[in-house]
Amino acid sequence: MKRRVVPTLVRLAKRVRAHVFKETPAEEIAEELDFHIEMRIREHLRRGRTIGEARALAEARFGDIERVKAVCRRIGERRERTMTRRAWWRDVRDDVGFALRQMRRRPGFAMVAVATLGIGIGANTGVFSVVNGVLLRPLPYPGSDELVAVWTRYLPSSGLDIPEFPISPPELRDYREQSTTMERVAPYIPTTRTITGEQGDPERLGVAYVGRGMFDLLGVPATVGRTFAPEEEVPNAPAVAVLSHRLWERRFGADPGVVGRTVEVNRRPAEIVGVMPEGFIFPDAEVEIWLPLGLDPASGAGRAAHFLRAVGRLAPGATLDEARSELETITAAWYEEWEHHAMGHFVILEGLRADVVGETADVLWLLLGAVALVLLLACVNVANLILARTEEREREVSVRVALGAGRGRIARQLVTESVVLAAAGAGLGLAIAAWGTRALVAIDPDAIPRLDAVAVDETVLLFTAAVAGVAVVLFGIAPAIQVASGSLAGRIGSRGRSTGTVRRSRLRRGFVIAEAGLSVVVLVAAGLVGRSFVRLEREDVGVDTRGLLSFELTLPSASYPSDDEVVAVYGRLLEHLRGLPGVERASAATDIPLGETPSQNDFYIDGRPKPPPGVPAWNAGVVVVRPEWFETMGIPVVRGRAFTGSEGPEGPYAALINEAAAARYWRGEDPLESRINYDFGDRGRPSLDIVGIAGDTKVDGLAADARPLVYLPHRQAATTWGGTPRSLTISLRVALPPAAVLPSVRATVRELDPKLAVANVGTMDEHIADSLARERLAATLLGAFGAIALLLAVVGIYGIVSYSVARRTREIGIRIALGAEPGRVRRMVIGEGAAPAVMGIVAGLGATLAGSSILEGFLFEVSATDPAILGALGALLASAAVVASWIPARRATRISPTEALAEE
Amino acid sequence: MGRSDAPLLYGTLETLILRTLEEGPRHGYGVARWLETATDERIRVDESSLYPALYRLEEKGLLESEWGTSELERRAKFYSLTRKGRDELARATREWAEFSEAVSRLLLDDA
Repeated sequence: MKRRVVPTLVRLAKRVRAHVFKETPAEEIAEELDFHIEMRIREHLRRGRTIGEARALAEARFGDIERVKAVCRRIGERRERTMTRRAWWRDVRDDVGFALRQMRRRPGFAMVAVATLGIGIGANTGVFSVVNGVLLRPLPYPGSDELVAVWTRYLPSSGLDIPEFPISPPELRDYREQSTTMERVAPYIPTTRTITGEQGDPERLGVAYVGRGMFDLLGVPATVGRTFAPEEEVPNAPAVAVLSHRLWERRFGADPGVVGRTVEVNRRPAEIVGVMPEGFIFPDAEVEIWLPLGLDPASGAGRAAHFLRAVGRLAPGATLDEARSELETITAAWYEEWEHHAMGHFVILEGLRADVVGETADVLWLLLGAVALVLLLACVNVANLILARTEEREREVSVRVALGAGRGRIARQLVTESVVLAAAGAGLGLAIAAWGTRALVAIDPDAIPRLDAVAVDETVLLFTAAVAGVAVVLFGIAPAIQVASGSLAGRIGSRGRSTGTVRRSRLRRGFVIAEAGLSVVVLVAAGLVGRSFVRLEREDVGVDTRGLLSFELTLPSASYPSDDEVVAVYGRLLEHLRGLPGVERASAATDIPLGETPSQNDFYIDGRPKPPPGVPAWNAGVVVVRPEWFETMGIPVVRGRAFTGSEGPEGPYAALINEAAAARYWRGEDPLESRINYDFGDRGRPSLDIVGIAGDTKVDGLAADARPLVYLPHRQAATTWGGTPRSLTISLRVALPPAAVLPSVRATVRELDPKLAVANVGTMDEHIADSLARERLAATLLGAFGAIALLLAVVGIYGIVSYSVARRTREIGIRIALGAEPGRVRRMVIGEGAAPAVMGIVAGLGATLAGSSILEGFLFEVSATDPAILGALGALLASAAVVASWIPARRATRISPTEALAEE
Repeated sequence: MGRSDAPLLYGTLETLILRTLEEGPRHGYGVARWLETATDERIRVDESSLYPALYRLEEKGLLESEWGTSELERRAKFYSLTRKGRDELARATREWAEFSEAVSRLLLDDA
């Protein structure tokens, strides 16, 4: 080692000297040639030439001197550039190495900083990857931004308040023909059907009947076989089907020869003509098989028959706004022609992606806002850590400056340290985010649509890098600027308070204010959303939810052609189910609360004149029920009575309504003395006595108001309403856990008909939980972020106050020596943490008040300015700040004056 | 790095420069004079190619240079061999020996 030291030092000295006496390549070559020529001249002079001859001869040997200079200069400059570049890289490597060594020397600091950054960056990356996968990623169709969904909207003036409802065939047809902004429009109907066949057990799955040209509209070709041909998409064509990739793999073993095989859909065979590619979904992930809709354009379905959904593709160059204004013009013309539809009911367009994503967007942006604040908190914490360390290294920095290291160089090295920290934090953050999103998908995949494809992809990586970069700027630039501007210079041996010290303690106060303010905002958001969720969860569904088990069943018309058979079979089934051990009660209905939305139907009230076309009639959801429905579900009958069970096709014709219907349509009258009928077109349908008023139930979700509902007995429905529903949800009140009862339930169904599939099995509690999935997710995540924010604030304030005490050891020692009591010292230190914290809390609460309108949309029966919550959380954070300051305060009181004065 | 992967020497001038500097560090003029005297004036260096050759050799890392004081009591740039330069000289010398042996055999055995 010693052998190498001297030459190394010599080389170093030479480099330093060369650095100091640097010349440009042009100057160098000029001087070299100058010397060379002078030597040649001497030669010639020694041989007796004159000066003039000598010079001429010497120069002649060079030929074109300028050219030589130019060539050499170019080579020299090129070399310089390479060496500069290499030197730069060497510096970067040195800086990174130095930074890593520093981190190893202070592992505590490094770990805390990296962990803090990891949490801050990780939370942001996690939420962003969800935002990216759900909101930003385009739908799996080419040109998906041009796709729109076509809906009907009912405004309250129409008697209903439905933002999105299916359209009718004549509306679709007219729109197709009259629109120039839409290239294509095609209808579809999603539903569930039972799939049977020799490939396996009966399965209930999502089916979509798609109208003419749908696959062309979407623009995705089949991966095996083909999609529908035009002759297959007309009414009464032979039945064909297209499978989803998942269904093909699951049920047909990914058989490449699947084209031509048969699949039974509700007992009707259909020939398979193709399989769609993996990842293709339409309209949602539940649908696994597509069949042609076969809509007859000449059918008599009127303008009021709203049962179609539709998707359209904008014509090239057309925008959604243009399409919307064209639609207004078209529908205005319709109103002229078809008065009935004038009142508050019109067709709307919605971009397809926004439609699919729904209201999730707002929640996601709220979460992203919250984690941004958490990141700021993390950066403040780390900035404080770095500031403290920078001050400790003042002496080292001053020595290096004195030895000639450029200030810029040192500043760059500090920035490199920050970058290394941020990079480590980003790496940790990515791991946290990847784990977090995977956990989220595993725990609650239905909480958010499109969650299946959330992954850490390039966009997410870019985002992480950007966030890390922002973090570096926030916490790393300040100390670097301090060094570069010389505020740390000349500090060797000096201990006094200078402007730099004062500035820095003001900065620390600012940090505490920021920590407290940011933290309180996140806490308040978490508190409000959490309270809102609790309120929501406690909402009364309107049924007795204990031990309520339900499942769906469909009796396909292929095997049960007549209404009488359907009625009889359900009756038999329910009787058998009632006899099972553990089953207290059993009944069935078309819809259960929080299930599918019941179909809306107009009805007439006896004795009241039928409203003219254009004036809203009476309209309510229809729930067709089997006997004992209200008793089984525990729905109270507030007036009158429930059905007796004897209501049959010949009478007595009865109906129940719910409180919402009574309030809306029988104001000031007694519904129990009223009769209603569904006798449209005077077909002779009998009127129904309203025999009872049932309690309201939650149909559209826990947060929504109750809908008006009419309950009709199943056995009479064909006569009174117009049809006997074949798909019912069977509800059982069980005394045993569902797992114990289900096997015998399934056996009973199988006994009745082995080809029937039991679908959508679940308890009422599970349905409630599912309906709240999104709200629960938001509340849980915000709660986690609130806890993180609180933790970061407490740790941060503790760190800041601790460090402040350490810096002021001497001053505190003097105070104690001069007789200050421990109590006063403690109060002084706590005040240093608590006073700015309180200022920050006040500022933060002010911010939440100012921004309360943002939060309003997420809250259920909780005000965004709820003083109890704001006050409680503010107090919580203030006490936390006091606690965080208390430990350093105690340490301060223990400072021995003699030691403090003798220090350094 | 960079051009050092290409065949290293343009021609004999560069090899001769390397050989000259094997004797010790010299400035450009010194290289030219040494070659002249060592070959009894049979080789006269083309001075317009000399300095470009020196600069290129330095860029390739076969030489290193530093300014020093010369006989005239003024500054001059002195060139010296690097280890890479030494290796390259050995290789080029071997190559030249093989080449000239082949040519000699060809030219002189033909009779």
